[in-house]
Amino acid sequence: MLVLTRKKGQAIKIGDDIVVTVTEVRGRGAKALVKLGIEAPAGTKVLREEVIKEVVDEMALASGSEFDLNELQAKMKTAKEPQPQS
Amino acid sequence: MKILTKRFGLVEVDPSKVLTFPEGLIGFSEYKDYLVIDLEGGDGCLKLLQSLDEPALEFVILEPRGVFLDYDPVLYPNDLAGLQVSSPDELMLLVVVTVPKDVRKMTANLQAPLVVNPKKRLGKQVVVASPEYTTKHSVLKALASQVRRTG
Repeated sequence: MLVLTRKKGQAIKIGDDIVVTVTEVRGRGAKALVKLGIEAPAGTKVLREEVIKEVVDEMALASGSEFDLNELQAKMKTAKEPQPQS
Repeated sequence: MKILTKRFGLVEVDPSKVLTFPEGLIGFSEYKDYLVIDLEGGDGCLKLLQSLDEPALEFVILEPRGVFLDYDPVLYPNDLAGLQVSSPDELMLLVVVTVPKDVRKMTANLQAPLVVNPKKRLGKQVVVASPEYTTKHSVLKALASQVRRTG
C-alpha cells in the first residue's frame, strides 16, 4: 500500500481526474478525525468502506430469516388498513 | 423443470419468473439464478426470491415503490453494467427484506437494492451512496405513514 503524509489543505491526485483533499484534521490519537474532500467525475461512486460490510451482514441476516409466512402476510395487510380514529 | 424450495417443496419453474444475477447477490456470489415466487393472501407487496440451486437459500423481497413512496436511489453507469439496458426507464427496483422472529420488526435494505431488467430477466445488486438510505428501514412504519398520508 502506498502511504503518503499530507497536511490540512494538501491533496493527492488519483489517476487523471480524482482529487482527494484533506480539508480538516481534528483531535489526537485514536480519536483523531480527518475530513476529506473528494473530487471525481460524475459517474464515480464514492462509498464509506464500512457500508459494504453492513450490506454483507444484512444479506446474511436476510438469508436466514425464519418466520411464519402467513403471519408476515397478515401483518402487511393490516398495516395498510386505516387505523380506527382514537 | 422442478426445483426444491425452502417453503413449498417441489415447485415447477416458470422460466418467465426466473431472475439471473450474473454476479450473484452480495455475499452470495456463487448463487446466480433465482425464482420469483408470488405470494397469495397478503397485499401483493412481498415476494420470495428462491435460489434455483440451493433449496435453503431464500430471500423476502418487495417492490419499494409500493411501500417507500419516495425511494429514488441514484444509480451509476457501472451499476447497470451487464444488465443490457438501453435506458434506465426499463429498470425495475426490488429490495431485500430482513424478517426477524417478531415479523412486525421486518426491515427493508434500501442501501443495496436489486436492479432488474425485467425484459432480459437480469439483475444486479448495487450499493447506493445516498446517506439517507440504510440497510434497515422499517416496512410496517412506512406502510403506516402511507395510510396517514392518504387518510
